[in-house]
Formats: sequence, C-alpha cells, structure tokens
Amino acid sequence: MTLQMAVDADVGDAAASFTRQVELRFTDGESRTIDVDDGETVLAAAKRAGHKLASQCEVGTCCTCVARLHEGAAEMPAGQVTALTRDEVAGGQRLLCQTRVLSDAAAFGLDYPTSVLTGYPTVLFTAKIQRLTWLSDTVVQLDLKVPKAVRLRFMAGQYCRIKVPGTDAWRSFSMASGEHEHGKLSFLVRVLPSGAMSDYLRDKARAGATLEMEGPVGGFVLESSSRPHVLIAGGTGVAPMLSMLDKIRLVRPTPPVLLIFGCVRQAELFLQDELEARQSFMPTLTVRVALVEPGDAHGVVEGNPVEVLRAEDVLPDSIAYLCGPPGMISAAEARLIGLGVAPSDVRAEQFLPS
Amino acid sequence: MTQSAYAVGNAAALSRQYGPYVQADWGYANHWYPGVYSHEVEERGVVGITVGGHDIAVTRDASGKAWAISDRCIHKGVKLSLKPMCFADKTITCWYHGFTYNVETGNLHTIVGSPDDKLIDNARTRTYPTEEFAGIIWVFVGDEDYDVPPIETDLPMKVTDKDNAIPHLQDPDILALGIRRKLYGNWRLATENGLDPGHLLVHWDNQIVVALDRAMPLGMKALKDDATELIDIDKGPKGVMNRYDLPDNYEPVFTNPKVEIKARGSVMFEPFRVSAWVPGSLMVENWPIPNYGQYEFYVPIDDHHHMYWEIIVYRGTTEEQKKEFEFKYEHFFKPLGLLDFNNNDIMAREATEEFYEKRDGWNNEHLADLDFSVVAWRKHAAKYGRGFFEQPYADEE
Repeated sequence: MTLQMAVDADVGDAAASFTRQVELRFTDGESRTIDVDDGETVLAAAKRAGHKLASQCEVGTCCTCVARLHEGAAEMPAGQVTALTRDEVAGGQRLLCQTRVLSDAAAFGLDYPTSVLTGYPTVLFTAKIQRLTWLSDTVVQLDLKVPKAVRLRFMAGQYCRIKVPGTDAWRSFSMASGEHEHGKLSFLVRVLPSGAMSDYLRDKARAGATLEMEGPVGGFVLESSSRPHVLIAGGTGVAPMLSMLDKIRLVRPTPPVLLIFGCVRQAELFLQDELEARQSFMPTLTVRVALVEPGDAHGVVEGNPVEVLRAEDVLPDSIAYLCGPPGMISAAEARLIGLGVAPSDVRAEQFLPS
Repeated sequence: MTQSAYAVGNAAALSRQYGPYVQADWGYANHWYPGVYSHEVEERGVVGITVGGHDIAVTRDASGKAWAISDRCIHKGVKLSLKPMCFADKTITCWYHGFTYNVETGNLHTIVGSPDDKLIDNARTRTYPTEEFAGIIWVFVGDEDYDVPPIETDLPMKVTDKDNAIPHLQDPDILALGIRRKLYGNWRLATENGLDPGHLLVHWDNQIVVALDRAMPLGMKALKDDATELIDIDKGPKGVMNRYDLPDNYEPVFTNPKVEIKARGSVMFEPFRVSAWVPGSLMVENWPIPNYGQYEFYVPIDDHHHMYWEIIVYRGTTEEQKKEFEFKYEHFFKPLGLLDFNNNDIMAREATEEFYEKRDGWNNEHLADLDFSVVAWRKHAAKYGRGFFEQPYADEE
C-alpha cells in the first residue's frame, strides 16, 4: 500500500488522521518502508504490513523489539517503566512495541538482517563428509554431519553453498534432507566429466573430509498447505523435492502430491527405491518417473517431465514447485499456467551444471 | 559403492525405507504419552516430567482434575516443579519471583510481590491437554495449535479376537499397577527391543522363566512374510503384532546343533502375543502368566534417554480382587517380571544405544532374517508419526 492510497482511504474519516512513512533499515543493507497510522505503534504497523519484526512481550518489558532511531522524531509513553534507561532513550533507542512516530517520516535501524523476517539466518560453517553414495553412474549422494554447535536451520527447498576444497570455487546445492534431520545434511550431485566439484567428488572426496559451507540460502521454499501439490523435477532437481516431501507429509490434512521425476535414460535414473518407499510411508504421494529414452525400463513413462503432465493432474487450486534445468522450468511454467494454475502458485528453482 | 566413516554393517540403503523413523531421534510430536502415575500427584502437588524435550509440570486442582503446564517459568526459565507452590486453586506459582499461572489457560494470573505489574494478563505460558485413566495421567505433547486427536489412537488396540482378552487401558474394570524409570537409550531402541522376536536368548536364564518352568524357545522363525501383522485401524491405533498365536506363522527354535544350548522349560502356556504401537508402546498378552497382560511405554525424554513404563494389568471390580492383584504384583510380577526379567532388556538397550549414538548405528547396523519384525515396525511407524520433537537446547556441545 502506498502513502497516497492510505491517505485516500482516510478521507472519509471525520477526525482526519495522519499516516507517516517509516523506513526500517536492516543489517544486510536492505530496508522496508511501512505506513504508520496515527496512534499506531511501529511494531503494530509493521505487523499490519506483513513484516514479522523480532518482538516478544509487546508491553515494553522484554526489550526484544529494541531499535535505534536514525531520522525523525518518535517517542514512547511518558511515566511508564520500560527496560530502557533514560540515557538509552536519549541515545536514540526505542522499543517499537511502545513507539509512536511524531514526524511525517522516520527511519529506524534494526540489528538483524531481513532474512530474520522470513526464515533462518545464513551462517558460515564447516561440515564433515559422513558418507558418499553413488546412486548411478553420474549422481552421488553427499551426506554431511554438521557439528552440534552450528545452529543451522533451514526451510525445505533452500540450498547451501559449498566451497570446493583446494580451490576458490563455491557451488550451490539444494538440501535433499528434511528440516528435521538434526545435524545431517544430504545433497544430490550430478558428477560431470569435468568441473571443479565433479573432479573433487570423483577423485578426492573421502568420508571424514571437512567442507566449508554457507547456508541456508534461497527463496524457493515450501509453504505448508493442504492444497494439491504438483512437484516437477529434472535429474538432481529432485533433491529439494525430497526435503519438501518430508514436510508436506506432516501437514494435516495431508494433501495429494504428484511428483514427476524425469531423467534422460535408465542408466542415469536413480532413487527409484527411495521414491517407492516414500509412497509406502506417504499414502497421498504419487510418483511418476519419466524417461526420454525409456528403453525397456519398467514402471516409467516415455517423455520429458513436462510432456507426461496430464491435464487431469492439475486442479484449479493446485500449487506447483519446479526444480531442474532452465528449459524444463520454462516449459513447465507455460504448461501449468495453460492448465489453469495461477502464475503466483508456480514456484521454481533452476540450476545449471557445475 | 558406499564409503562410510563408521562402516560395520551397511544399512544405509535399507534405512531409506523408513526415513521418517530414522529422523525421529527426539521422538514423534503430536501424540499422547503417559506422563505420571495418578498417585504421584496430590491436590496442589506438582510433578515435573520431560517428554521429547518439553519440560512439563503436572498438577491437580481441588476438583481432582489433572492439568499440565510448561515447567519453565517464562521469567527466568526455572522449573516450577523444583519447589512446588500452589497457593490458590488451579494456579501454580513459581518459587523464585512469584510468577503465578492459571493452569488451565497458562495466563500469567499475578506476580506475588508485584501485583500491578504490566506483564500480568499480558503474558502466558503454554499448557498441554491431559486425560486420566488406568491410574495414569496422560499428556498430549507437541505443537500447541495441533488439532488434538482422541487418545485411543495412541494406545495399543483393544483386543477383541480372544476370550479372556487382557483389558484395554481404557476399560473400566482394569486393574493396573506399574513402575516408571528414566533410562539411557533412545526410545526407538527400547521399542524395538520389546518387540524383537530374536532376542529371547537374553531371557534364557531369567528367574521367572526358570521358576515357572516356562517353555522359552531360543528364537521364533517366521514362516510367512506376514507373520508380523500390520495393524492400521481407521481413526484408531497403528501397530504391528507378532502373531505367535497362529501356528502357521512361526516355528519355534528349541535347539541349535552348532552350539551346545537347548531351550529350557516344559510348560507350554497359552500362546502369548507381542505387539508394538505408535508412538512407542508395547502390548504383551498373557504375560507374565495367562490372562494377565503387560503394557510398556517408551516415552522419549531426549535423543538418548527415555522413560520406561512397565504396567501389569488384570481385570477386577471387587475390593477382594484388587487386594489379591496388589499382593501378586508386589511379590511376584514386580520383582520377577518388571525388575529381574526386564532388567535384562534394559541391559540390551543400553548396550545398543552406545553404538547407535556414537557410530551412526541406524546406517551401520547389520540386519538379519530375524529382524523381519523390527523392520516391519520401523516401516509402519515411519508412516504414522504426526511430527518430530525438536532438539530444544540453545547450545549442546
């Protein structure tokens, strides 16, 4: 909502009230601008605008919502005991749950990044290779053990950056493990004939080796919903889908989920046992495996993952998650929207070989 | 090709088949668990328990109703149960700064020495749903906004296919007595040990088996792939049952010519059955002797400890039946069954935990044919957990 719209909306109000524009500045350099109504606290206005700022008691006691006034004028009610000393208030600190803005515009500095508004902070950490499992000739599953001291939490669909040991190259991989697998991260990596990470995994990686990591990263995240889900994955793009399935399985009521998993040929196909097992412990899951060159493979359909999507797979309220190479993503988006899925309900993450 | 840092066996591929179960190191959230025995909590008494990392204080109001509330004062996080204080009915007061909560709503009702504090009625702690029957106060533990399912979905099923079936825990004529103790070991290893048809060697020389001259085979060989029955009752219990009562299902093993050991005992009792139930309990029918039963619950405390519940049940309504049951319990079932016999199971679980904790046993165990029943349980339990308890500590190194 813009300032102009807010003023327009208030025109009919007899006691014409003011709307003030407040900028919230975060440590990652990002900012959010919100409209604060007359008499409204900054915290309440932020909440109304959909920004979940750090806060707890909301009565001025706990100090969680403390921020620093950068520009403008803003005050907390007089004669109330709060957790801030007089000197701290004079120095610009304010509790946003108590603070009302006096000037037409104001700016506050928060001491955390915007990632806190939506999810978990990105951290740098090291992890140990616990296990390397070759799932096919070209795909390896990398299981990592994260030290307990690392407070790593992520949302299904997000990824980590991994530094290729002995180089300055970083590569990004989506978590295949679930949000709840304490201290464990799993990734699926397509190993190419050449490439920094491919060379490392093929020739040097050993259980026990240490990797430098950064994560979680990414806005491709699952929203908990009981609407029907369509997941479309190409190759190792199935990784974030596995993490998402772990979460969808616990949604009540559990939605129907169709996972379309595409590979080129049988020699490159992997995780068939795993997907079969997942259907056994998640009765609402249907898996359709698509091979462009099916040969004599059993239990698969011929085609790429978009071609094998049928009109009846999609309902008007379906929500779709896509992960795979760029060509697959754009084809799947067009097809899903053509079948009536709202563009805002098609979420995608594309990847490139590395 | 798999490389592992700790390879002994290689169960990594198998463990995929029941992934959610392997993830449930802290236990399944959003289930009913036994909290305390009824006799442990008097009116205005407070007993602290921990379930899946949730610290919970159980108390009782003047009408006799049991309540469960977070056992962490919101103020400085101390446990309310450390020094029970209930000055008014349906309240609990923290012994430190006097934060006083309504036990039904969790609302901060007053602060003893700061009655005008702004926080009063503006803060709350969380509460947990309770039920009470069979001499036990049950607590639903999980997400606060979870739509609480009926408790019978989390109990062993009601047996209906046998005459003189052992009582269901909700039956009104149940007589139930038992103990609970905190043990080292993950809740899953405890549950599996209870169900495991392959572990009879542990009990070969136990007092109760020798005293009763009870025929105890060395093992039970499954003859069919459905010898362990998967039970999935719509809107009811989910579990697996070793159908020892069906002669076509199992062949008892009494001797092994490669080693000099033979099964002991000559008295064949009424066939007993063992079944395991989500979220983590056991029902043993016709044990320790016919027409009696034993229920066990393995309640996760954290990822390496569980509360072990051992309950003997029988049917009766008269004072005389109750007295006779209490006598047999004190002088027979408890010392020979719950203590001597089950202590051998405890030894086994603690020994297993060490490997699973330090050497990633879930991926490195080496399963055999005799584990069919345990694997069936794992797959079944993977399907029906309603959520996972989270590791609650800020720093756990």
